[in-house]
Amino acid sequence: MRHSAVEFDSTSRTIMQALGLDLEVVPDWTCCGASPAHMTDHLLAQSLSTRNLRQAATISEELVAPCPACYQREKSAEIEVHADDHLRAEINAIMDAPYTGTVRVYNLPELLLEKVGAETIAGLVKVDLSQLKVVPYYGCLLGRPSELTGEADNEQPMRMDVLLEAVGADVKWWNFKTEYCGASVGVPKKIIQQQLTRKILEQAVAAGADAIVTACPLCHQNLDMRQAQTNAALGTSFDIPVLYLTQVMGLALGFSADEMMLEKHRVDPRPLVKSAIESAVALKAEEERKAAEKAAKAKAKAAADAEKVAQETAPKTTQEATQEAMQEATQEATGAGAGETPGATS
Amino acid sequence: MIRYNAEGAASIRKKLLERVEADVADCYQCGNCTAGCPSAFTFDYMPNQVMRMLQVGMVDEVLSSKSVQLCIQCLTCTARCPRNIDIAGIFEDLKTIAVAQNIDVPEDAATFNRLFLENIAKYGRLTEAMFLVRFNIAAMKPMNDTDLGLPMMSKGKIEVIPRKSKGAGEVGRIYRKAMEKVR
Repeated sequence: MRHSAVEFDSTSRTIMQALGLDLEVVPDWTCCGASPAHMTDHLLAQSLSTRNLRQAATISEELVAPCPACYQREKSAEIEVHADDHLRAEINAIMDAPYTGTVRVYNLPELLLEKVGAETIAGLVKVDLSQLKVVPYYGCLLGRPSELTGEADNEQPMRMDVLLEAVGADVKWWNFKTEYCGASVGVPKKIIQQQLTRKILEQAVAAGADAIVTACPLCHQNLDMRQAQTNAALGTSFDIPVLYLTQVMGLALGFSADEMMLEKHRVDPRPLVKSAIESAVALKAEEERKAAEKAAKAKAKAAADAEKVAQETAPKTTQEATQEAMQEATQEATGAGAGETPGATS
Repeated sequence: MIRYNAEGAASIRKKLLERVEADVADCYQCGNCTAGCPSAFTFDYMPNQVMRMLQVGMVDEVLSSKSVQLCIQCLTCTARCPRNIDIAGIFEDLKTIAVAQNIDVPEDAATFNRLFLENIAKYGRLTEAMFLVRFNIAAMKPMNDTDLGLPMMSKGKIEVIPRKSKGAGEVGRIYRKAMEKVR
């Protein structure tokens, strides 16, 4: 993440700090082995991941892995190693030093929802993103399998939806949240990645989104950095920005486009973000203007009504007064009949 | 150099196949795994066909198939199997058996995996640009992804000089010890 996903690294740290989370980098962390390790050997994969759990245990009981692939590997190691003493012993035998801890692994959306909460985040929003139309793209490893990730539904993960709605973005509904983007298969077998990337871009546009939001560096690589490659290979002409979840949240919390490193993307999201924020401001101003106009009209109407009422009541009072005066005059004229009602007299 | 240990590999293969066969027996060929598989269009046998082949003992055909190599472990099949079979897990096991058996497999996925692991065994963390160059040479695709070089370079997304991380030595030892056990 220090290089090809430098903006995800940096913005994750920025927003976690802004949300009051005490974050420290795992001392001397190393690669979890990603897919190549678990596709090669189970013990190798679990050992490489457990090494990071051991390193994390020296400073904390909780580990957050922003990259979903790292998360999936570390979580899998957590679950298996903590439940299986035999496997733990086998792993400890090939590591330099044993792991004896019980570190809990979180993914980024999970951590933000559990440790900070959607309501708190919503309360910190400074910039209106209501005009930014987005679709949340989870990819394979943030939702699946739900036994591991803790999402309620394999096919319909919600954590990113909840966070994006909390920061006020216009979240569009679509059916491609958990479709596969191609991940690292873009290197050895491009056609798979290109076909899959195309489908996701196509569906995002069809859902009415102006940007795709992801929390995965590999998804970002395929959807953003390889978008031009995919266009060239398949004769398409997609031009849709892909933002990291942390960037959208940061923008809402009041960080600038530069602080959120929007310039790092190949499909430049800056014009879109700028116009979305500006149109939200303009829309708000327009609404305020309309509301003020309405209020002024209502006030004017109320004043007019009051005047009308005053005018209507005024002649009535005169009439009544005249009637009363006339009645009095009649009564005075009849003299003796005073005190008796006219009906009773006749 | 890791030497191939036929006896060790045979016992690992037996152990894994027992697990695979126990799960595979539950498959009733509904085809849900194939319907949802995003890379099935590149497979020689569809996922449900692989399940059937394993049921009838066509293990060698499966182990040297494109399907096992091109499965990308997205876990869609596992999530959707009505019989609760961990299909992606079975494909993962089949990949590891193919490694343990040193089987000659089609496609470049195995080469990708091996070079990736050799890279982290040396540097501790993946040095992406160097890994890509080595992969392109091994796969004989010299121009692969070179079009990404310039945009990534200009965005400061390429590590020009690879650095070894502190834990690299241990990662190397873990890799060698695990692979010795496998082979």
